[in-house]
Amino acid sequence: MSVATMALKNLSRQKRRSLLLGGAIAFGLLVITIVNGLSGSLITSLEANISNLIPGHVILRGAEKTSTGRVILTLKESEVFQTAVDKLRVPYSYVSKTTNVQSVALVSDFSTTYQSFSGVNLGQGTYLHDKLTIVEGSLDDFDAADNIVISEGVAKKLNVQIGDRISVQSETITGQQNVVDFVLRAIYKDPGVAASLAGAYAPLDRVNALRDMKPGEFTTFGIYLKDVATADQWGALLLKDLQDKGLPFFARGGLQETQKQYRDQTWTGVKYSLYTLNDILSFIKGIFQTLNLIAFLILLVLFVVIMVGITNTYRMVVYERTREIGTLRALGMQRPEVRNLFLYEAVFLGLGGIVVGFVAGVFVLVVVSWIDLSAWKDFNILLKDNHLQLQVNLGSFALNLIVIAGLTALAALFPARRAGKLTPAEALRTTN
Amino acid sequence: MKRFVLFCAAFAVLVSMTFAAEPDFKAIMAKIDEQTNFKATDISAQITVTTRKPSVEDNVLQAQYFRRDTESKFLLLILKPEINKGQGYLKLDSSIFFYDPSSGKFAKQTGSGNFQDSNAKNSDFQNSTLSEDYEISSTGTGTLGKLETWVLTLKGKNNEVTYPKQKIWIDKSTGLLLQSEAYSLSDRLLRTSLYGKYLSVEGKYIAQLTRIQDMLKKDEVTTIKIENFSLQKLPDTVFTQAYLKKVNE
Amino acid sequence: MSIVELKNAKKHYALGKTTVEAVKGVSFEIEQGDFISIAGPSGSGKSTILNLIGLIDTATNGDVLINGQNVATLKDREITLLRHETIGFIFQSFNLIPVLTTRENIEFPLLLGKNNKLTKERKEYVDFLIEEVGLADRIRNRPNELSGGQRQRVAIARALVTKPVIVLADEPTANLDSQTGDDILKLMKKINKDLKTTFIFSTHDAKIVELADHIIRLKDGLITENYRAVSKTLPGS
Repeated sequence: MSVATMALKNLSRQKRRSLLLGGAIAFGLLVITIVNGLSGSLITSLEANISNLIPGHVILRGAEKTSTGRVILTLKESEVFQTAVDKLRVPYSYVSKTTNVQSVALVSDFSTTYQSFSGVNLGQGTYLHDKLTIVEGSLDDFDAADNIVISEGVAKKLNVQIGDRISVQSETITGQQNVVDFVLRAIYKDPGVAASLAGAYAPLDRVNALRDMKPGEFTTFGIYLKDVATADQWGALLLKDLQDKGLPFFARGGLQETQKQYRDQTWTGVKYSLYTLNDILSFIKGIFQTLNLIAFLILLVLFVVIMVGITNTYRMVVYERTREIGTLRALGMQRPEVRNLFLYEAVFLGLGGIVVGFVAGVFVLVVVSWIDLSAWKDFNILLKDNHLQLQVNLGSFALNLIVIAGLTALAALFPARRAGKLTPAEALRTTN
Repeated sequence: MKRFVLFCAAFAVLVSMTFAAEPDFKAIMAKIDEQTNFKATDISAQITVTTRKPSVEDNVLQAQYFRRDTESKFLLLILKPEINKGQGYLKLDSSIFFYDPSSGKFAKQTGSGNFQDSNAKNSDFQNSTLSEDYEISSTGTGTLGKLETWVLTLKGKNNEVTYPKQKIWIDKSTGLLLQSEAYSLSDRLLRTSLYGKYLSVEGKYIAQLTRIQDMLKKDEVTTIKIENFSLQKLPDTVFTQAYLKKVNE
Repeated sequence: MSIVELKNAKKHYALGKTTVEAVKGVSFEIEQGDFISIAGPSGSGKSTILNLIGLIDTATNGDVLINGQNVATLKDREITLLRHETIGFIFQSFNLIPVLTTRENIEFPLLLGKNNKLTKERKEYVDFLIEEVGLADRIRNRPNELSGGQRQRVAIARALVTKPVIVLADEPTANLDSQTGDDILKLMKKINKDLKTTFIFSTHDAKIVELADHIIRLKDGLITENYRAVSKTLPGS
């Protein structure tokens, strides 16, 4: 039997104490597993769902500034981008050319709502055709006429049905008022709280007409990647490649930073900007990361308290087993072995707590992921098929395991060293 | 020969009568700008903007209004309701800035942007620039109630004018603007505005009541009422961003 | 050659602000195969001397030699190793490890030290000892499931498992009833005779003194008597 085996057996002494300490560690792990799992799940679902609502995982735009200081978003050709994408072998599922308007008035006979509006190609094999979940109507032959597709929530607000007329009022690219009529052809599934992002879609040339843009022009070149997690990586490579070709770019940043650059800078011709999904989601991701950090800090404080508990407990344990330590030393156990005996006990306690806490956390996440959250319509965008996704980060678990096991050993170190330093006679003399 | 001379004379009279009867519409349009722009003084007034939309309570906004037409500047400082108190619109040159005291920041707006949640545009609060922005594409006559009017169809001189096409009704007797219809680029009637209760001050005129009917969102109407009109000279500092910030401290 | 030799060994303890002289200078030798009783009243220094011989305490002055080697020059690691290889302990309160079974308690010392593999030969020796102490039907029991006598038997087997040259027994029968105590003594005497293991007792028990070959009497930390007696057996053995 090794010192480690003996340490394991020793854990069965004072079961209540072991359970309490181990239970406290398990609780901490349970909390952090759930928090990490939930935030990871929400972010993953958000990324996947929001991809439907933005023009791509990697987005390229161009802007011109008129003599009066007005900024016009325009891209006249996409060949240079497509060439770069092909040269870098960017692993994409779709590319799209769209005209995006941030806010237009959608006017029905009953009411008005303000939404984003995109001119897109909605034919077979395009991103939106494949990704939008149509609940009413159809996208067949969509590009052929003045068709419009809106979300369930918008349709409800406007009180319209398939076949009804919707007038779209917007400014042209030079700021003039314009109106174009459309016919409601299809309604897509509501993304809940991101309703403001749930824009309307219409054929590209009709939206261009609304904006007084020429046929063939567009505002956004979008790339939908096979793996959304690689958006930043491919965005950076694409940016470098295009810059090397001599295309002028604004500094990378979010939408607000780019707006500021539009205001503050003067340039001639077209100047470009590149965004990725993360630039758009950075604010929300930042919130989740902050939540994770807060949970981690709370856990850290909790663990400091637990570590103090472990130190005190092992001081007591060493005190209670002083005579036994004397016996072990008398029988021939070396000082480091005695020290290690207590360290092993503490570490095994910690490991047990970690594993139990992790398993319990995973169990909770599994149960939660089974719950049908379709009543949570407002939060659709954070869900996948009305469920929270099960997400378990084994990397985090491994890190937690090492850190907490280490901390547990550290907490027990001083009492363990003290145990090792006891002289056998001194220890055996005790009447504990 | 005699008949020929008579015919020529009659023709000449007819032609001169025709030409004599045809007004100078450019001048008429220019007069609208001239009569309503206060070049010699500043103006200040209290403005009430009331917006009526279906299924919601009327939105009533009160603001202090300052204008300096010589420099094409205006400042609109919202006083009520409480939630909007302290917000301001400042026009300097061709730029309009919106100030939000809660963030302390200025955001650039366009003249064609909606004023708050109403059917008015930001540009509705600046001095009239019809002859600068539009050329006349056709003319005619009409009536509004009992008043005889000229009816001018206007086309924007460039592609940055908010409404590419407008139709205006001008009181024949006073030369004041009574009604305007604003059209989209696709020639769709977007709004009809009525201008009334003109106040005459030192040879200039200001419409104390403007009614804007949205023709696309049919049940939406905004009225702009001007009261407590004054021609007092204003300090230069009023038309600055610093003033808006200071007022909110 | 003597296996244990003390030369003017002294042991002092600090007790608060005072110094207690537990052993004031004792000298004696112990031969292999001796069955020795170190007797004396409480506080005479018996346990202290046993601790010095057992290398679980160090002499303040004087020399302690085990197999001719002066232990004063050794480091703690070396002392522990020497103790493990040379000395077995039987404690008054048994001092068994509560989480280990009878078998595991007995085997335990074999898993310490340099050579800590449980070979077939060693296992067989453990089985032998279990038989010798009569606990074959108790090998899976923990100490709290054994009687006092059974526990002491386990302690004896544990003390012998490393085939030590010396077994130190500090009041081994103090917590046992007289019959059990007699049985334990008989067992130890048998092992002493069969295996030539040196047994050194610290004891009040007159029966042990009577059984001893070599008697050392102490009083107030000094030897009052040190003599070899004719070996006796217990009545009825």
